[in-house]
Order: sequence, then structure tokens, then C-alpha cells
Amino acid sequence: MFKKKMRMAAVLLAAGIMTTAISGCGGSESAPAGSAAGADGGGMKVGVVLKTLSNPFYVTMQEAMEAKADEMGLEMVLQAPEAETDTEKQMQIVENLVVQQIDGLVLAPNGSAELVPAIKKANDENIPVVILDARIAEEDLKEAGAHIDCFIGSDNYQGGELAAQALYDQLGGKGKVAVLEGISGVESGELRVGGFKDKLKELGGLEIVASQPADWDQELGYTVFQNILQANPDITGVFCANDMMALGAVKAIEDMNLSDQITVIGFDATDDAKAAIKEGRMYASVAQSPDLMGTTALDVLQQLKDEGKCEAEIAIDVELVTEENAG
Amino acid sequence: MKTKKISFSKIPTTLITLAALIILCIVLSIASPYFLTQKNLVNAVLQCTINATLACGMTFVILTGGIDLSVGSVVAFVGVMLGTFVKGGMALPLAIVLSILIGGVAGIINGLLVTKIKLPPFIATLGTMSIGRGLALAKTSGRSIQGLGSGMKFIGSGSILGIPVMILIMIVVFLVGMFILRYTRTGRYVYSVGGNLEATRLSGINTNKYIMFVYLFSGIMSGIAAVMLTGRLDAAQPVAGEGYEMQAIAATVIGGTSMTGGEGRLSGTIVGALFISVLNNGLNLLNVSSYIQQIAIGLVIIFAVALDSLRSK
Repeated sequence: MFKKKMRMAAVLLAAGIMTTAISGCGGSESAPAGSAAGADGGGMKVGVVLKTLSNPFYVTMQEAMEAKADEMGLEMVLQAPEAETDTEKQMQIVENLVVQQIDGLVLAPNGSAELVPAIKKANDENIPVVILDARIAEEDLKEAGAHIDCFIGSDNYQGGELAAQALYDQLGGKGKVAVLEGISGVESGELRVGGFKDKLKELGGLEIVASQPADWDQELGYTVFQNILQANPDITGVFCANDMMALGAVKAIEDMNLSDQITVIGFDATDDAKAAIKEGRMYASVAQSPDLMGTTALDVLQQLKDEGKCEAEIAIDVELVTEENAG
Repeated sequence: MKTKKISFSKIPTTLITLAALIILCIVLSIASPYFLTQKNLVNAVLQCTINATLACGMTFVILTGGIDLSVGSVVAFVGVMLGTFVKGGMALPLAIVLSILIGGVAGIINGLLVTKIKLPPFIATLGTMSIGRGLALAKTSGRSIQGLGSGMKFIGSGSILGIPVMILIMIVVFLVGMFILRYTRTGRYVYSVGGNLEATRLSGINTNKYIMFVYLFSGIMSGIAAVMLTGRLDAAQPVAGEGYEMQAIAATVIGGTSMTGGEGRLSGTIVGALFISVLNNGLNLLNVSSYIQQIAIGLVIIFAVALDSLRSK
């Protein structure tokens, strides 16, 4: 009886170890090549921490970076938490990367301050740090005595300008327009709206009759735009700092049967927005380039290694998505 | 091992979990050259401290046959309260004590729902889990509270005599927990409530008092974990702690505590928490994706409980 139980236990234990070992083998396939290359000073070993891999934006980024790393002869260790809000898990991953003696860290942080202690740990080991996509607050870095080498993000200001030009062209250079802003104080939103307003002023002709925050939220986009429409029934165009709000505005417009009158432009080119564009419910959106963002990070690390310096900030081009290129 | 004939079912579960942990460490140190470095081992222990603290409270609750799903949300809510206190200029020691008490209050609410309103623990704490998360988000409008000063940073990344503060806190928490379970009447009654609630009640013991106690204890542990997490990130995040309840349950179960109550040890729980953290750390080092990590943890939970039920047959 005892023997039987013992054997059962041994089998279970062995199976457990096997699982660990198998998953271990699968993951470490590139390790030998990397460590050899690292020894002769050739390819670097780069650690990459993305926000999550359950958002297509970052999966696109991951695929582009993997291809680029192969091409450059880099060994890349890429990991991400399950949830896009999980900062503690990102911190764990950074800690675990730092002990692997990586030559560079690329981080798309899930919080603007929470990852500062993790960045400090990389700083302490003299590992260059490139921040992707979302900014780390400068004052928090300073306070912790930490620093980053480069920030790479989308050119949100340019995106706003593109939207303004598109709206101007579509409306024939005249009419009243509205703006739905993101959460006040969030940099990406401020830049998008800033670029939009500056460009419209430069172009002239269009008048902004309302500009209100709808906090990136679809529901709020709906109610805020309804209110704006009550006050300004003759609006012919609206720019929304993200697609969620744009889709909310679209709903409000459809409720009031004003679809033929009002042109909607969003930002992010999410799948939902692209579908709405194809159906003609929305006019356009501004797309970021996660692939270019990711590969630029690897270029920057290589440049840092070769030349010892890089630009402190790189803005990645964005593009307008309309019915023609909504995929 | 004094006796020669020792039955498998008599080997303490803790020892088996410990043996599995050691085997895992050996496998990992062969698989990755970075595993067996001092820095990495400190990382692995550091990464288990918050979960271990929550699992300490969870073990008490599960010993009575209950469950506390609210711990992750309580961590988030206490964290944002702590952040608010500190930002409001409150002295740090006071803010920390107050925060831990808030955790305790959350525990008392859970306890009252279970003992007075007779809700099943799963439902009661499912409710408070949602409420806690909502409160944390409402309090902050979803934004995190940042830059809490050097005192909080010290808790998260400082060390005393070369040992990280986070690890020291975890050790103190476990010593207190073990003391209660082993040497106090409360500890004994926690076991007997879980072992046989009816019999315990019929023998004239106020079982509700001890059930209240375990939820209070779990709440306090959530409060302490919130202080640790806030220190570690130097920020309080309303979305923090999501899924922590599952991690804590996993550590408790891997450590050999029976979900039906009455059986289990804190020494097992700490080994269970370490096991999860070492496994995550090792799979990180081996560049295994986080999806596979989840599968691995799931398999370990199933193995651990299967082993336990085979042994108890």
C-alpha cells in the first residue's frame, strides 16, 4: 500500500519537474548563441518588457522586435505581464532581467511612476534604459536618482495636425467643429488636441465651438457630445483624442440622425474604429506604429553601444487611416 | 528520522513541499547560469514577500474552512488610503498604522457578513472584493498616487543589516502567525472550528468569535501587504493587487493546507509562496512566456492537491 502511494507520488513529482524542464528547454533555445556572442562582444543581450501581450498593439510590437533582433544578431528576452495595469509584475520581470546581465533594457511601463524603482535597479547595474510608448514622470526619476537614456513614443502632436488637415479638407475649409479631449493633464491627449488646434488655427476657416474632456471613455464621449450637440446643432465636424470617445460621439450622432452632417475623426485606429470607418460611420482615425516604435528601441540600444550616446527623445510618425487604408 | 518504518502519509506535507522546492532549485540552477546567484535568490525571496504575507492571513481563513477573496482589493484600497494620508502630510508611522487598521476593518466586515448574516465566505468576500476595488477606483478616479517619500521607499527597497525590509516584515508576520496557531488557545480553536464546526460549537465554544478573528487577521495581513506593495512601487495604484487572492490561495494550498479546513501549517504556506515565486523567477530567467508560467503554476496546484488527497486516503 505504502509502496503504491510512494510510486504515485514519485510519478507526480517527476511529471512536475518534466513540465518545468520542457518549458525551460523551449524558452532557452537562443541562450547559447547569445552568451557566446556576448563573450566576444558581438551581439548584445537585450531585455524587453512590454505592457502586456493581450493587446494586439503590443503583439505587433513584439513580432516586429523579434524579426529585427534576428536581423541584428541580438539576443532578445521579451516578457510582459498578463494585465496592462500590472506594475508589480513588470517590476519582477525587470529584476529578473537585470540579474541576467542584459546589455540593455526596453520598457513600456504600465505606470508613469511605479516603475521608477525598477529603472533604478537597472541604473545601478549600468544597464541602458529605453522607455517605450508611455512616459515615466521626469520628477519621479529625479527624486529617486534614476535616469533613462531615451524615450520613444508616438508623435501625438503630429497626429493632431494630421487630423486637423483631414477635417479641413473634408469640410471644404469652413464650418463649426468640436473637440473631445482625454483626461486632463495626460500628456498624450494634450499633445493630440494641441496639434489639432494649432493646425486648425494655421489653416483658418474652421471654428472650434466646443472643446471638452470626455476622459477617454466611450460612455462619456456619448453624453458629452450629446450635450455639445444640444448647444451647437450646426456642428459639422468633431475630433476625438481617442477612438473610444469617437465611437461614443458616433452613437450620439446616429441617435439624432445627423450622420450625414457630421464628420468624426478619432485617434488610435483601434479595430472597432477601423470597422466603423469601413462602414462609413466614422471618417478617419490616426494610427500609431507599434512595429516601428519597437524596432527603433533596438536601434537606439545598438547606437548607444556603438557611439555611447543617443537622442533623449524620439517621436515615431503616425498616419491617417481612412476608408481606403482601414484594412 | 528516528523510526525506521515511516509511513508516507506521516511525512509532514511541509517536508514534501520543501523537497519539491529544493528539487526545483536544483533543476533551475542547472538550466540557468543566473539562477544560483545571490542577487537572483534575493530577488526570488523578495518577490514572494507580498504574496506570502497575504497567504499567511489566507491560511488562517482556510483553516476554518472559509475563504477570503477580498484580499487583493483590500490591498488596493488600503494602498490608496495610505497614499492619500501620506500626501496629506500625515506622519508616516501614523499613516501606516491607520492603513493597517483599515485592512482590519475590512476583515471585520467580512467576518460579520460570514458570522452574523450567515453568508457563505465565498459570496461575502466576493462582494467585498468588488466593493473594495470600486472604492479604490472611486477614491482616486482611477489614477495612481505617486511620490510618497523616502520612508515608503525604505520599506520597499531599503534593508536593515543587509536584509531587505520586505523580507524582514514577512519573517515577523510569519513568526506572529505561527505563534498564534501553535501556542495560543485561539490557534487551537481555529483548527477545531475548521475540523468540526458543529462539535466545536456543541462543546460550548463561541465559534463565531474565532471565525471573526481569522477574517480580521486576514484583513490586517492585507493591510500590511498594502504597505509593502505601496513601498515597493513608491506609488499607490487603485488597480494594484488584482488576482492576488488567487496567488495567496495557491501558496496556501501548495503548502498543504486543506481547503476543507482543520489541517495545515504556516511553515507549509511560506514554502508554498516561495515555490510559486521561485517557479516564476526561474521561468522568467529561462525566457518562458508569462502564459506558460500560468500553466506551470496551475499544474503545480493540481499536483500538490492530488498528492495530498492520495496521501490522506
